[in-house]
Parts: sequence; C-alpha cells; structure tokens
Amino acid sequence: MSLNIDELCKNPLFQINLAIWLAQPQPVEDYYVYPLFYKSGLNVYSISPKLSLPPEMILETSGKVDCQGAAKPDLILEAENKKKLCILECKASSFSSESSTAKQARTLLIACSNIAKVLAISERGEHKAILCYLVGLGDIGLMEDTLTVLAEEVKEKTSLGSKNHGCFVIRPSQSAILMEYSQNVKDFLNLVKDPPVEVIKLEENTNPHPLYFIPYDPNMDQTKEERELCRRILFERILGYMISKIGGASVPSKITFTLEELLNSATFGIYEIWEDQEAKKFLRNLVRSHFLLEILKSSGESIRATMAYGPGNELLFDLRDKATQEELLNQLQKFMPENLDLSKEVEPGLFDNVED
Amino acid sequence: MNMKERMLDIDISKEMQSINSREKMIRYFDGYSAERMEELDERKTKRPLVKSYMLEHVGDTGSQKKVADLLLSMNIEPRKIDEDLFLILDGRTGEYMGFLEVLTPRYFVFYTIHHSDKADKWVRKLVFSSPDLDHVWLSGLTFNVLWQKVIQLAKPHRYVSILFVHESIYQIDSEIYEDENEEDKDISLSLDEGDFSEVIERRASKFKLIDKISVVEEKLSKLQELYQPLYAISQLRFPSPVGRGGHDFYDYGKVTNRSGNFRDHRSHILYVQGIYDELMKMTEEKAWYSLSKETVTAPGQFQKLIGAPVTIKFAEPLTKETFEYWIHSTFKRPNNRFRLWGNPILLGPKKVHVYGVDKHLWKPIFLEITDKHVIAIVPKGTCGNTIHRLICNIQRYIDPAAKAYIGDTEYTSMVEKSSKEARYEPKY
Repeated sequence: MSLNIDELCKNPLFQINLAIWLAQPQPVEDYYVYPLFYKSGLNVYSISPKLSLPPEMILETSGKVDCQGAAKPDLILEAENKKKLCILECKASSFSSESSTAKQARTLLIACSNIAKVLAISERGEHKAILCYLVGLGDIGLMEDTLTVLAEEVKEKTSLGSKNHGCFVIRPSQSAILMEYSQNVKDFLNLVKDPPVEVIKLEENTNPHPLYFIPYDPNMDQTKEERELCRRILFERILGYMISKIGGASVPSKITFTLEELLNSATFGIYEIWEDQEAKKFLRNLVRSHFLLEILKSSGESIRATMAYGPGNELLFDLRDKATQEELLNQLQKFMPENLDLSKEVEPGLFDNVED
Repeated sequence: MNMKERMLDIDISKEMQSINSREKMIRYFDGYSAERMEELDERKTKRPLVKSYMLEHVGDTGSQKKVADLLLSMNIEPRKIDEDLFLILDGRTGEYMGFLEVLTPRYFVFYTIHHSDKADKWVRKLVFSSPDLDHVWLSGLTFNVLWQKVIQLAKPHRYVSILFVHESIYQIDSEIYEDENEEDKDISLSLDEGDFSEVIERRASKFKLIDKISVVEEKLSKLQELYQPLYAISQLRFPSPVGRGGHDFYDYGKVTNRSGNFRDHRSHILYVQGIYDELMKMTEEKAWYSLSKETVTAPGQFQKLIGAPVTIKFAEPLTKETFEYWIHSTFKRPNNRFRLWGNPILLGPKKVHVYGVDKHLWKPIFLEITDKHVIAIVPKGTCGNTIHRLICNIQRYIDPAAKAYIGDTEYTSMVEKSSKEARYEPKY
C-alpha cells in the first residue's frame, strides 16, 4: 500500500472527518483518535451549515469589504454551555489575504462578530465565536498572519469583525499525526492539552484514516488514490443500504431507490442539506452512471427481469417472491465496488436539467 | 427420534392444546415444574423441563408487525388465549409447540416443555427465518453484572451454576479450519466429549462451575484475572428464592427452569428482560448516529450530529494470522458466525474498514476492525441488538476479556445502571 501521510493531512475530507472524530466520545484510555474536542467540552453543533449574514451586517459591509452574503464553513463546534462556538473551515494549506479564499474568511469573521444573531441562538450577544482554519502541513504563523490581516481590514472598514481567530495544523511525525494550535485558540476553546497533541498513532504500512462520517465531496482536491478510496466508500455505503432495504422487505413488494435517497443514506442526510447544486448533480451522475448502471450490467438475466430503471432515475425492484429476494440479495452481496473504475471521469447526464 | 420420544411429543402437544386460559397455563406449568423437580431429586427425569426463550421483536419501533402476522407468515398459527398470550401451533407439523407471551411490543417469551434439542432447533429456525425476530443476547459482560445481582438476591450458602464457553475459532495452529456454514453451528453446551468430537488445537474453554455463592464470590474475579476465558460466562443460574434449584439463563436468551415453581421462573425472566430492555434503550439512545435537525427562527435549519461510536477493545492484540482468518472467515463466507456482510477495505496488514450490513436484521453497520479493537458506527434505526450480539460473539470467539464502550461509557457500567433502573410492572 502506497501511503502519503503528508498528502492525507492536506486532504480536507480527511480533515473534516478527523475533526468530527475529535469531538466524539471515546473510551478514556482505549481511543483510536484522541478526542481532544470532546474532552474539552466541544460537540459538533452543525455540519456544513449555511451562515447568512443578517441585513444590517450586509448593509454595514456593502462596498467596504470584499465579502459574501453567506458562507458555508465545514463545521461548527459548540462548547457545552453553548456560549462559545468554533467556526471551522478545512483547507489543504494556508492562503494569503489576496487569494479568493480570503473572501470567505472575511465573511466568516463578520459572522463571528455576532454569532448569536447569525445562528439565531439569542439576541443578547452573550455568545462568542472563533474562526479557525484547519490546514495540513502549513506554517501556523503564516496562516495566523493572514487571518490577522483580514480581521484588521474588516475592523478598520466596518463596525464589525472579530479578533477571535486562529488555526489548527495537522502534520505527521514519526509515530503519530500531530495537531498544533496557537495559545489564543487553546485559551478561547479551553482545550485540555498543550500542543502538539498526538491525535492518531501511526502504524507501519497502515492508512491512519478513521471511519468516515462524510465519505466523499467532489469539490475537494484529493490525490487519485484518496479519491478512489472515497468513491469506493460512498458506493459501499450505498450498496449496504440497498442490501439492508431489500433484505428487510416483506415479499411480495416493490422497492424503489431514488438517487437522493441513496445519497442521503450514504451521507447521514448531509446530501439533502447541501446547497451546492453542481456538486449534487455530479454526485447523482456519479452514482447513476458509475454504480447503478454497473449493478444492472453485472446482474444475471433472471434478476435483470425484476429490475427497472425509472424515468426519474430511480431503480425499481419487483420482489415477487422469496426466491427472487434471495437471488437478488445473493447477487448484490457479490457485487464489489472495488472492481469498478473508480477514477473514471463523470459525464453530464441526459436528464440533468430536467431533474433540476 | 424413537417411538417413545414420538409418543411423548404427541402427549405434550395434546396437553398444551387443552389449555385455554392464562390461569390454566400457569397452573399447568407450575404443577409440571414441581413434578420435574421431584424427578430431578430422584435423578430420574421422565419428561423434559420447562424452557423459555426470550425473543426480541426488532422491527422499527412504531412500525412493528403484529406478532400474529409475523408468525402466520412463517406458517405458524398463534391461537389467542388473551391479549398477550398465544398457544402456538406449528402449521407445518400440526404440533402444538408452546405458548408465546407478549411482554411488551418489543419483547416476547416462548414457553415450552418439548425436548431441548427440538425446542432449540425450532426457536433457532424461527429466528433465522425472520429479520424481525432475534434472540435476546446476554454477553459475558452482561452476565458478569447479573452475577452481582445473584449475589444480592440469593443467600451465600445457595449454590450457583456458571458455564464458561470460549473457543478461539479464528486462532489457527495447523491447517485452516474450513466450515462453510458457520452460522448453523453452535458450540454444544454439553460437557460430554463424544466419540466423534474433533481434536481441537486452538484455545477452547468450556467449564461448568457449581459451588456456593460465597465461595464463587470470593474466587471468581481472581480466577478471571488469571485465566481470561472465565470472563466468557455463557450461562448463569439464578437460585430460586422459593425452593431448591434455579433458573439457568443462557447467552442466547434461553432460560431452563430447574426449580419447582413456574411463577418464580417467569418473574426471573421478567426481571432480566427489564434489565435488558433498559440496556437496549440506553445503547440506542447513546449510540445511534443521525443528523438531528435543529430548526431555528432564521435562517433555516442546522444539522447537529448525535451519536457515539461503539468500541470493543481487545485485552491483547490479535496475531496477524488470527486477524486475517477472522476477516476472511467473516466477510468471504455468506454464512458466517457474525452474520455480517461487507467488502473489507484493506487499510493495512491489520486494519480494515467495512461499511457493511447485519445480515440477521438487515441493518447497516460501519466497522473498523484492527488487531487491537473493533469500532462500530451504528446509523439510527439499526437495532441495539446488533451491538449486543457483536459483543457476545467477540467474547465467545475472539477475546473473552474484551472490554466494550458506548462512547466513553463502559458497557458494564451501562448494564449496572440498567439493573438499577429496570422497572417491570407486569399486568399479570
């Protein structure tokens, strides 16, 4: 197995899954990922939420700073008492204040200035938020500098902005993946350990990634190997869902799988709340053309007679009797996403526009 | 089956057929149990003992099929005695098999006086044929807590019987252990090694311990530290408070009445079922992963991730051979002991990820399996029973001293809490 832990640390999908794991309750001693966030009293408040700036904030910033009306950070963590929040965005590496990513950072800094209002938690302003970037291998100082420049710019030009910002950096050592963060991040979030913290111990010739909560995001830059792995995880999860539903069904019955249902099942429902229509379209095409059609192709004649591909891109199964159900399950259990061409380009679907 | 046994089956079937009320059933089983106890004392049992099988109805809560519909779909006719009690007629053989009592929409008990072999097979087939039914699974970890309850409930001079069963079937010394239909095989709980028993060259432990509670209390934890298979309790006797003998609980939810009192037998089942129910609720409440929609006034919805991973930590790392054979045996065979399906994603020599399915209940389960641990992510809707069966099987076949956690809470502390909080108020 060829392993490039440096690249893995730069992979935003690995980063977001790691961040979620850091917030999961795990055994006090026998943990696989050290639950730094959980031990520090931080929980996952929201995954990939869309944060819209209230009208008064938009008016205040309009024409003054280059920002957006809304932004979608990867994660929001909350302290147990909900008085402190951490807006977390995962990036492959640090960026400069001149880059396109800076626009999103300004928006999130503005959102942090009155997070209670943005999240509609309360109007009293007793909630505080910090904007943190989780980057791989970058220079922690460089990233901090960029955020400081952006925060000062926002503060200078508007009455908004936040001085609470910082970053997490992950990098491999000889024996572990380490997480570093600056003192102000530690103080703000009351993190229980001084950096660097060993978050995952490395084993020889072993990919350290934990079980993925979010299996795949087409927008994220990944190496070919990581992309193939993530697509396989997505397909395995969809296949498992199909087997579960067919196996648990009463017979005779008809079962329908829509692309949306399959993608929701594989992403803990995150697909449904994604607002990136292009990414959703890509995923639907990917699942339809690279997975469902392959299942249809690989099925035996007798089983194909019980399957149909509906006009709305749904897959229909007619479970006429127990024998049909068992044969179908038998074939699906033998189907191996590993053998698919997982790096194949995704072509636009014929009905893409119709779907939307 | 010889003529004598066949005649006995017919007698049992006829006797049960004539019972048409709950009171009659209780009186019948009470008298029957007393007779068997006398026979046990004389070491001459003429008829089988009363046996009960604790079953779980694992359909999605709120959308469970009615028990009658569930059984009828398997050609088993439940004849209604009252709202919660049915006389069970097997339509395939025309035999009356026993009585099914619905304790709650989720839990049933099947009472029978047929021979153990016959009843075991019948119940196993019933469970095997339906993704809506499963045994109640009492792991060694659960039994270790129930043993503490035995100490509290019974006098120190009473005798307890404990059976320990562990077989490292994935630990291979010589040639590969091939058996395509693992799930049909159960390790016999009999201690008798017959003429045709295989010669075992892997760790296989089967002990039966019968001694005074005070003696076992003093020694057991020390013995467990010295020899780990003693953590793998697979049967425990609750001494009867109303007389000699007791109630033998097995890890797959079977309970044999070795006392002279059926009412006492039933109340012990209700007690353990209450603990199990609490444990199940706690497990599912804590472990189920889902996105909980938190609607706020503006702007829109936020998705909060709730749930906790299940971690099963091995006392000692598995050898590479054992790890490989376990993975191969489980995921390359359609009929495996763990009843799991999945395509393992190999992430290292001793690490795989499986986004798989519990094939008994047909529910998804995501697993990280290494030589040191199993981590399970259980999506909402996957029955807690999947977790308990997994823990049971790991203790029995992989590591008897494995520890389990739901999130950061140790499993045994959850069982302890369940046993304190369990409340059961039967209607009868």
